[in-house]
Amino acid sequence: MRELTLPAEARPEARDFESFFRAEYRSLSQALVLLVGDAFEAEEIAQETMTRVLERWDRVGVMDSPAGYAYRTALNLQRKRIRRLAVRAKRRFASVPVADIGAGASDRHDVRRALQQLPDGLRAALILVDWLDMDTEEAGRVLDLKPASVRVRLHRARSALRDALGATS
Amino acid sequence: MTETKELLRRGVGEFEPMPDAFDRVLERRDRKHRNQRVAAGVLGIAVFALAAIGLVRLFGSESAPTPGGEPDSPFLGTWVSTSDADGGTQTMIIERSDDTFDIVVTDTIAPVCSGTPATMTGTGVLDPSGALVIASPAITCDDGSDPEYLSGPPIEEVLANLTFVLDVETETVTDSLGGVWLRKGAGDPSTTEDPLANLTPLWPQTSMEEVRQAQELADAGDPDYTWQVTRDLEGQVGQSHPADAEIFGRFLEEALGWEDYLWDEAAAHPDGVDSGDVVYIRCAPGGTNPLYPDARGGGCAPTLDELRYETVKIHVAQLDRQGPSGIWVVTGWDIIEPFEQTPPPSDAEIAELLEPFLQARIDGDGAEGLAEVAEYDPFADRRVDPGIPLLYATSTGSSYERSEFEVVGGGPGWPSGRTQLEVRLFAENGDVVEQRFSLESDEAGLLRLVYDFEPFGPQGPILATTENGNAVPVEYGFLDGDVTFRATYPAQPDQENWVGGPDRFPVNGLPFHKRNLTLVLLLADPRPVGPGCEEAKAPADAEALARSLRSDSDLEATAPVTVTVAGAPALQIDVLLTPDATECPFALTNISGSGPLLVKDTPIFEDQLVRLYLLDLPHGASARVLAVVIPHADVENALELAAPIVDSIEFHAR
Repeated sequence: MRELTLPAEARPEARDFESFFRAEYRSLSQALVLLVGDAFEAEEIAQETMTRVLERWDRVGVMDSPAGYAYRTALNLQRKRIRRLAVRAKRRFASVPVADIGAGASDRHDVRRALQQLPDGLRAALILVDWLDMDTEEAGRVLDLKPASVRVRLHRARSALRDALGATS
Repeated sequence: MTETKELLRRGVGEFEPMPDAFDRVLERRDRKHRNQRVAAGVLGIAVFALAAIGLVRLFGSESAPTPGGEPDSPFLGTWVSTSDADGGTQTMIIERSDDTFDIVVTDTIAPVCSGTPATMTGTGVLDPSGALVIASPAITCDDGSDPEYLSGPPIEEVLANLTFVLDVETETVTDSLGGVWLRKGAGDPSTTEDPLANLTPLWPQTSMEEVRQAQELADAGDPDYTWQVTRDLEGQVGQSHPADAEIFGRFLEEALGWEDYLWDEAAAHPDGVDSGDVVYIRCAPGGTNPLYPDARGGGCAPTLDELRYETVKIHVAQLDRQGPSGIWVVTGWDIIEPFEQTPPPSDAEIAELLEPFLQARIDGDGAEGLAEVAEYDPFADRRVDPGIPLLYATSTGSSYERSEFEVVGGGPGWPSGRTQLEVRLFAENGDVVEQRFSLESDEAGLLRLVYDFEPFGPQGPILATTENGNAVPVEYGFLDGDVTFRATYPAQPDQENWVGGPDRFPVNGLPFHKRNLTLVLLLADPRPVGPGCEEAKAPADAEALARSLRSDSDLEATAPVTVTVAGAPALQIDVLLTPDATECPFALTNISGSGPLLVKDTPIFEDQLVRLYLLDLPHGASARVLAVVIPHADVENALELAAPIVDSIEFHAR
């Protein structure tokens, strides 16, 4: 079963940026959708993250975990999002309605809203481990936490998410 | 796990990134480089973009230092905002440069840069009316990102021919976007009382011209400036880490007058700190932290009171040249909410919590409520007994007759006060149980005694409980407790949710290429897969499953041998893939793919020898057949390591 293991091992060996981008971008942007609750802003952060990775690819590309660097960068950018008034203003005028149509939209809204109610640290731990399938050690490296602390956050996040969604359903 | 993943999947919905995302990143990078080239040497101003939406605020300041000692224009000097709407500080420096003026505006919080510092630069000339006009101001975000322009016309259009008009009588500058600026220090008495208030936003250079000159001197190897070059700082400060850059220490000592200070991960990421900000705490000069004299950081005594430290957030940037040879300057700093250490527990507090707990364990009653299991226990739902192991007796049932404890791990950890304790319980039969606990404060500051099933020491995981120095077997349950088994660390359930599921229980413990591989996999009612990848019904019993596996053309299976597992007959079979085995799809909790399968959703690989024990479960169990799989039977000593687990399997009739 070893080939099945974590996605990190399934990533292409080739370390050129485009391969890295093709392997990681979808996961990154989906994780950011969960993290920020908004597809437009998620993609904005994902784009900026990958741009920064590209600018530093000569150094990032030789790291043990370029993806870890990317996720850490994305989380830092996400923290700055709190003050992204300008982007919000722009989005109000420029965004195109996404396909939030149909039976899944309510579900999606509930989950994203519940996620947004979690403290940042809990939400990040949950997404890194439960969505991106990082182990707690890898997530700890991204979050600057010990694996045990990641597990504590995970536990709290899962409980809070279950409670929140239980309350909405 | 499954439930959480499914919830998150619902949250993602049908979102897919834009198809041209890669090209957009390339364009974004190119655009950024273009902007950086254009902006080089200029003063960027988020202020102006703010002004465009009416958010420009006044600036206050004192005497106007006129660079170059040429007080020939009342515009020259430093102009400072006193009330930026977003809480940042906007400062403008106007300097003479031959027949023109160099203007640099810095904003510590620029909404157009996502709240990070920004700089606007420009070259101005005096028009016939005496107004100062900057034809083409340029804005850059100090962290290298692109300014996020607000709706409306392009920022270049908004800023073009930016004009400043000076009211000499009131010493007020009004810009053409509605912003009003006062000389630094004027009209704001509070700033004159603070010796730090006169610090310019750039340090150690105070103007862009000085920065450019310093860069040239650093390039020439002048040691007065080469210290401002730190090759790998960009990535480090991006994560709020100072690396070993001298600029922070020098700034703290020379500009802020701090004699002693500390950067520590525990204080590095308070709320409001952005990428590029580096946080330091101030230590009382020459003092020892009285609460942590022996701990890491013990030399750092608080400066505000017994617990709190003055805390500063410093922002640095490469304003002239970016990259490994560019010099770094401080472009902003703020005194922020003081960092606070938690007092360590006293000996009396430790004894007060621990002694009753240990006495209750010796008495054989009442210990449960005196200590908590760590809130996160990864295997709580798999462990038969989720409580503290060997609470009242050893594994052989011998009661405890005395106890002792000691503080380990170097004492209370600074700054959280978390204290690790090694507890020893001596049993009547001479056995010794050792357990690791910790004393931790909860969010409200209440001290708790906590047992963590997976304590983490400086060198990695450590055993939470040992008996006579050995790891203690832990009992786990499968199929709602119909099947139990015992595993001893390092063998323990696999935490990765992609391998889990209600019909499977993987146990790791086989080191291989530095990873823990599955040592034993328990499968309930495994379903064979047909030659066209069709899924067969679950066989009625172990014998039927054995026949099915042997008839699978993708598998080479040995003839079943009857052995005993859990006191019951079991069929032992060894399996290898045949060359060119059919690849079939599989879907586990968090991962899907395709490959040759042993049974449904259980991929195996070429040359992977798999040992199977197939057992009929007792009547009334929630499954009919149990397959005990040793997936890497030929790796290292897998069979030997798995044997105690297999031998410990028990069935529990309902």
